[in-house]
Amino acid sequence: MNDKHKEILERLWEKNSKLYQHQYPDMFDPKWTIIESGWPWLKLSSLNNQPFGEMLKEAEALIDNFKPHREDYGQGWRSLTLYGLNDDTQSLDQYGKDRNQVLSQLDWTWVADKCPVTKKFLKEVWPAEFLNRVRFMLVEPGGYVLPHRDRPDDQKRLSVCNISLNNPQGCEFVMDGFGKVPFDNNGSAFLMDISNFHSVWNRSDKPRIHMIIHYEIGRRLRDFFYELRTSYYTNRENNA
Amino acid sequence: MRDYNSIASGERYFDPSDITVSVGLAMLDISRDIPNTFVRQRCFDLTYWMINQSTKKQLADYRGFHHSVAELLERSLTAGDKVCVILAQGLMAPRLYKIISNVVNYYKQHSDFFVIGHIMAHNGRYPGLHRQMLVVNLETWQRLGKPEFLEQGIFWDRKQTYPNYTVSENTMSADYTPAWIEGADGHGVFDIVEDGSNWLALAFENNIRVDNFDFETRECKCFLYPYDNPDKLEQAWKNLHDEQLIDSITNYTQRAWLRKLAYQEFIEKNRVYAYNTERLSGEGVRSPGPVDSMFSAAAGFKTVALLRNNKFHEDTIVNYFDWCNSSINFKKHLLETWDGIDFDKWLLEHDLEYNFSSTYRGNYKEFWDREIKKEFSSAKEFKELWDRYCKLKHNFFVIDIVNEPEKLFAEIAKQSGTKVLWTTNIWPSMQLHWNVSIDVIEEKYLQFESLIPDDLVIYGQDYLANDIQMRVREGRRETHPIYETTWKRL
Repeated sequence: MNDKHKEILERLWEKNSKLYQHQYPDMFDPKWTIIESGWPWLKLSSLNNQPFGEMLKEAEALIDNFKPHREDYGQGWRSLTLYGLNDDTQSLDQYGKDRNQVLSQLDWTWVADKCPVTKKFLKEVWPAEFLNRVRFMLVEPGGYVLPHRDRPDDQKRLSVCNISLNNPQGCEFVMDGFGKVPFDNNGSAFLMDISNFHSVWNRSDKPRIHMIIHYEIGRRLRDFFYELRTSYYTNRENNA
Repeated sequence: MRDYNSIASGERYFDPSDITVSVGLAMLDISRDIPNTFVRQRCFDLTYWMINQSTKKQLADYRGFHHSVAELLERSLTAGDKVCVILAQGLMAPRLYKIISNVVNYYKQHSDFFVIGHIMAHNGRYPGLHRQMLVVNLETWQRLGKPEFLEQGIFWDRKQTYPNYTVSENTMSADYTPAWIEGADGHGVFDIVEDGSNWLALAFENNIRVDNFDFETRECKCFLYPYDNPDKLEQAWKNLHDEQLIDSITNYTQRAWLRKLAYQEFIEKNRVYAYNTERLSGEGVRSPGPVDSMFSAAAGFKTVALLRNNKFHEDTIVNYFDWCNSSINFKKHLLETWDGIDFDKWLLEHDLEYNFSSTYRGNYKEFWDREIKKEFSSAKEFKELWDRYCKLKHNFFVIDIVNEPEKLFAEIAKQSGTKVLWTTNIWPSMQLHWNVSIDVIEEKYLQFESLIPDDLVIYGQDYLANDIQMRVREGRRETHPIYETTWKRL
């Protein structure tokens, strides 16, 4: 890591050392939660019992197939696409102006066929009618992702889902202005507002593997609200 | 005349002879959307209660509980139904028999219709049908490829292209609820679609107009919106007397239903049934000889009809029981002061002294005329019967047969000869089922049943509205369906 990157990360970590505390109103309101709350993330506690450990094993078995990802602002950051155009699918906007044509070409990749538990979770549990892009995201020991954001301010809301299949001690995900996202090493799912600047630094000796789901809710709105509502009240009880 | 007021009246005089079409009744499992265990369970039980009242009248058959509309329709179709009425868990339809009657009439006039429902046509969304109640013509549904009833959706990348539509100028209850909707030229692109929008699109593509429920059907039911603040609904459910709590409920329909029940609950302490409200099942002769001792709920004139049917003599003893003193006092008062002619006029003279349930000034005469016509042939015959009946010895007991049945059976044991018991619809009454969980009711009912002596002739209904005689003497026992959601991850 060069000195400049190290300084950026250290400054960001120092600035965001405090834990963010959600304040949950008594009454769950899905629109408020997603769009108006300003929350940087929301733990989807309703998914706590999903087989994240088995999904991790599936991802680890393919570790040699991961592709380098955005080397311009990261180091040791790699990805492998389960659902997309191919096993190395980038942002869909990069594939031409005709988004509908791109969408029509999306499908399960060979990776999904090698990961039946993960595929089953995405097909049967994940509460959205359509998947846009689903990837395993790996950060190698000592690797990092410099602060960046993926959405402009006018798209501020909880959107993509980031699932930690593991999160070894020493690897941290920081969202600027809010602190460290409390990912669990045994698996945890979070909706994230990626219009906030965020960064990852893996100071452990193990590779960190997360799964990021881009999706379109479609007619699974009530299923989505169910997960959201259950998580909201569970989090409130657990002060999470 | 339409009855706009009562919870269940009209049932007594309902004529089912027009219901010549096979109708299936099914319940849509919406448990996923009700974040409260008590409300989920009780909404299932109460909606089933509504369905059960109609199936026991043999107006329709129950086709089960599932979260998939297509699954419910398939079951109904397989069973040979022509029409399926799907009620969402939480739909209160005390006069479902009337809805079924309306549906059958509609089917006879529009045999190629697809669906009737609550049309929801909000600006900026593709219209659909509220899932609280759907009436489906199964033949048309099959012809259209047995489509699933898809849920509401929100799209950004995959906006839905659907046929254009036009709506009636007339609306039903709000500006977004047209009386009907039909297809129009061209297509539009929509990012928000309502429940069942795919059904409407399919109807439009096949030149089928979809009608909204008419006012009469709407008056027969009330959806509790059990997902709307269910914790407060649970509190109110258990505390109907808490006016402040009920006033604080913001959902209009939920509040209105609770207020209605709260009123029933309030007058229950001293309510009087001048007329019977239950269907007249099993009124034929059941006693081996003239009745020596009659034990009867203090309601309406069924006691008189049963004595006439089974025959009685001048030493027959009539024993009235009720958990409420007012009903007992009403019976005493009637016996002492009424001459058996024009009951409606007696009611007009004395109605300020009583809280009548399911009877109002506006229908005293209508109900009395019906009672005479249906049960007693003529006013003259009734008068003769009443004159004989009045001279019998009457005893009165304040007994709650649900919670203290042993008291009733102790009184029965004290008397001899041919004994008849009529329990009316106490066990399957909606008030009981609203207030007490079905499992507890079953337990109490079985305790009651275990006390019935072998030589007692029985009339009335068990807790599931079956004829008690059939259940106890012929072993036709039924238990209630156990609530079990079809949603896998709840």
